[in-house]
Amino acid sequence: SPSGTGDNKENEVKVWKFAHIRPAGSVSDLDFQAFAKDVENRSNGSLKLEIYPASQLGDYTVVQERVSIGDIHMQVAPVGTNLDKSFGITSAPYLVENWNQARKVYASDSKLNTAMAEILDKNGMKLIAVYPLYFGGIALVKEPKEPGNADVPKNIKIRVPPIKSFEKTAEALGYIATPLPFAETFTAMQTGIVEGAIGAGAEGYYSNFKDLVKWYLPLNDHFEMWYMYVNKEEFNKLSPEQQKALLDAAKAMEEKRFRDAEQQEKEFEGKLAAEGIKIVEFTDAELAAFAKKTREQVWPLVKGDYGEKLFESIVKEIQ
Amino acid sequence: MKPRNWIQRILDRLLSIQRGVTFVLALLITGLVVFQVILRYVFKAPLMGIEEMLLFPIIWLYMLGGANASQQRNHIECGVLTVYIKRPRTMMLFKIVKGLISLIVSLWLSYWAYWFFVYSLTRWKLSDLLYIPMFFGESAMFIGLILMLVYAVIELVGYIKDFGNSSLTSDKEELKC
Amino acid sequence: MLTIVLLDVILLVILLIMSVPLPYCFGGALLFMSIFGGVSMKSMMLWGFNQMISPVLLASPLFILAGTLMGESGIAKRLLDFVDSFVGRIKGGLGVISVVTCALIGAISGSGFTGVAATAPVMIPRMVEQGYPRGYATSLITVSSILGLLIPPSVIMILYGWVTETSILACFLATIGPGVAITIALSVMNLIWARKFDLVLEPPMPPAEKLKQIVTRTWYALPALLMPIIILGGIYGGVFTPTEAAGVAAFYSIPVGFLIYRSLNRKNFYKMTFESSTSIGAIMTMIVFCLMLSQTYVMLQVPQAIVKLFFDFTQNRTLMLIIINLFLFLVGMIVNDATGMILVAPLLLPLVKELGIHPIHFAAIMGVNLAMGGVTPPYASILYLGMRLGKCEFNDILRPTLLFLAFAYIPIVFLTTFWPDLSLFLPKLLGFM
Ligand code: NA
Ligand code: NA
Repeated sequence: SPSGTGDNKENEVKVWKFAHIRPAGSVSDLDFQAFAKDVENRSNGSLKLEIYPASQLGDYTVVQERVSIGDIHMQVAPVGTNLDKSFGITSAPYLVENWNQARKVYASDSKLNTAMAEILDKNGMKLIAVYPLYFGGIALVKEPKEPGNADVPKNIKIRVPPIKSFEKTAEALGYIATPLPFAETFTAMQTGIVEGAIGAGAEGYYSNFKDLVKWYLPLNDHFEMWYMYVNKEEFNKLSPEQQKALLDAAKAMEEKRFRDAEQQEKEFEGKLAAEGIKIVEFTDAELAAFAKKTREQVWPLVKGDYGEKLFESIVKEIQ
Repeated sequence: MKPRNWIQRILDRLLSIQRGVTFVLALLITGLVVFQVILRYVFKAPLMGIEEMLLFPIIWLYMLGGANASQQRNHIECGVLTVYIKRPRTMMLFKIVKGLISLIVSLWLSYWAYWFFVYSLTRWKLSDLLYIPMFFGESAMFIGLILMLVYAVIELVGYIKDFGNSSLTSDKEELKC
Repeated sequence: MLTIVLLDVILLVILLIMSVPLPYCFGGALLFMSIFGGVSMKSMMLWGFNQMISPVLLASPLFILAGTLMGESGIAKRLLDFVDSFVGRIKGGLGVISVVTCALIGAISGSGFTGVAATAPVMIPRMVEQGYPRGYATSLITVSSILGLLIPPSVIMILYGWVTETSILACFLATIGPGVAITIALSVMNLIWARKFDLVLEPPMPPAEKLKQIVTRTWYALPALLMPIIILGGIYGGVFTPTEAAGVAAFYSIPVGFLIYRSLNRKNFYKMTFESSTSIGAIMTMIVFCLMLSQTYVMLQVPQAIVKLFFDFTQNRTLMLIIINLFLFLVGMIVNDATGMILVAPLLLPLVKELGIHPIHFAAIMGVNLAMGGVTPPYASILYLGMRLGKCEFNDILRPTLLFLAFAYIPIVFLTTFWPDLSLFLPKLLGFM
């Protein structure tokens, strides 16, 4: 239909491609389905979101570029550092230590998110919500030596994502960082090429590795935060009503998620335990020691990648 | 005669470069993969970044290998209709049509590969660990497709020439069939 | 939208039949989808690039390189002699040797081509000499060569595991059962059939001499026999991933060829590496455009439409499985194994999951069907190569091939489909399920 008059624009039904990385039917997928329904309702059926779960449209870093190009309308996922290295800051090791800090640092009007929104905007994307997942940890197939003491070398090979901060964090915590493609991690753990993994949290390990791992160490090594963004041009093509519907639904989802996330993290630890996986309990002192050591060792190596000024200002905000 | 020799020489040169590079890349990739296994299994000290380093030779091997296949006319084909075409002239016409289709598709693909080439150049993304410009890998798509396009042109020109030459002798052959 | 996709598939088939090079067949179908399906091409090259650089996918080209180098290093002849020293004197024994050798070659190569290329030049003349009809010999070796896709390592299983995110190791194990069953079926069929031929058998050997022969031939075959042990032992023993195993295999074949079999020299080493880089290029450029085409179907949500279409048509599980097998057979007729895998696996996986079929079981079902595709005309790449190497006409090879397929192969396809344990026994035993 022609896009001439304002009336037409309002009534024009838009169907958007909306990608995310979790399998269909997972907790997050159900959240996004509810979100899509909410958008449709709020827009009186004029904005429909077609959901592409399980990275069907490509790895999240690729989809991020595809959103930036405009072939895919929106995604919710971690931000990939392919377009800008500063995005790495969102999963910096021990940037935050607990949920209270996380709620502050990752709030939508926080310094961090304003900065992220700016970079996304520079790349043709508009940030519309964040979606907090969990604090990360390490999952292992065998018992670690003194898991509470980072200074004891564990002599255990763990799979690390191909990101410098995770490599250095694994080493700081006493493990042998082993790069492997994610697709090969499951079988690598099965055959013993690696004996564990870092880079996910209870939910991630539960959905991918529950049949294999025997130990879970909730070290809070990073905070898993997803960003929901849309292509800016496509967003501008929406009618004001459609834009409002999208933004309001996103805001509502974000608020609900911040309320649910901490509880859900506990639930997934419970699910892991129900599978017979031993959850190692750490004392506050131990957690503080992990954080201290990692910050001392890893931050100097990675803050240059994030942009030193930005990183320092965010760290200052926490203290 | 002279310009033709000149073009031929450039093409020969291009081909020997293509061959040499793909040979080196195949061995380099094998070597890097084995090297990582030894580092991890024997020395328990795997190197981060080998995977990332690998992607550059990998994509060049694939795309230059594709160009080699075009040059050797060794791309996988179905080949069923060619079994049934008996008359040489029909076969030649058929090959021209086939070559033309390949050329059109090749041109269209090259256009989008060019789009990606420019995109890659303007974005200038860096790889995660080693900060190698992704352009050095992403440009392989365009270069490889351009080479394939060149060979598609040569192939089509060859078919048309064959057809032209055959028209002189066609009457005799037609009688034989 | 399904109409557009259907038209696109028809266009693809026309381009295939016209012998347009495969990358351009998919390119042409992609062009159609871009114009009539409204799929944007802007990010497609980027997407294709990122698919191609996947380290998991790298296993396929490396296994191609390993297979080519091994083929040239004279390993096939050593394996033949080795198997020959055990079954040489039985009537029809040479046919069984060919089948078993193809299976063994399958254990060191990832595709069917390597098997045919390595065994046919050595084996067909020998069989003809003993009195087997040329067409029969060529057909037997060609049909047996597709075992290379079922006995691990296997390029199509790597592709399946990759596009469906299933454990590649489990997929490898899943096709062993059907592969062994086909080896047995072909051997038995050959023994029965060979009674009709007037075969000249070698005179029996004195036991002492025979023993000596077995020992020497085993010794010479050892480096070749070690290869699958290194590959599979290394993979399942936690030394390396399937991709790395392919690298190790390629690496291993170099000293074996140069030093032990001495059939590799500097000149043909360069030639073989270049030749395999050409096949790698031909396959990978085909794969990248095939992937892009498949992605346009995913973007138009074709898999969901297929699930719906099937369930609207019937709810009967058995009937649906038969239809899926027929469909895969048709796919195998018109495209090669790798293409079939990439194009069809993501489209059908949601459907078979709905039917309650385990993805690893489906790996085996797709494996046996698409491997068979290598010898089913019109697109029968392995059959055509076999014909060229065996120097025989399509008419000579057609009858025996159809009979082998009908009585040895297709029954196993159905066995694989309706008896899950044939494929799932090993993955379960080794703890992959
Ligand atoms: Na194989
Ligand atoms: Na076929």
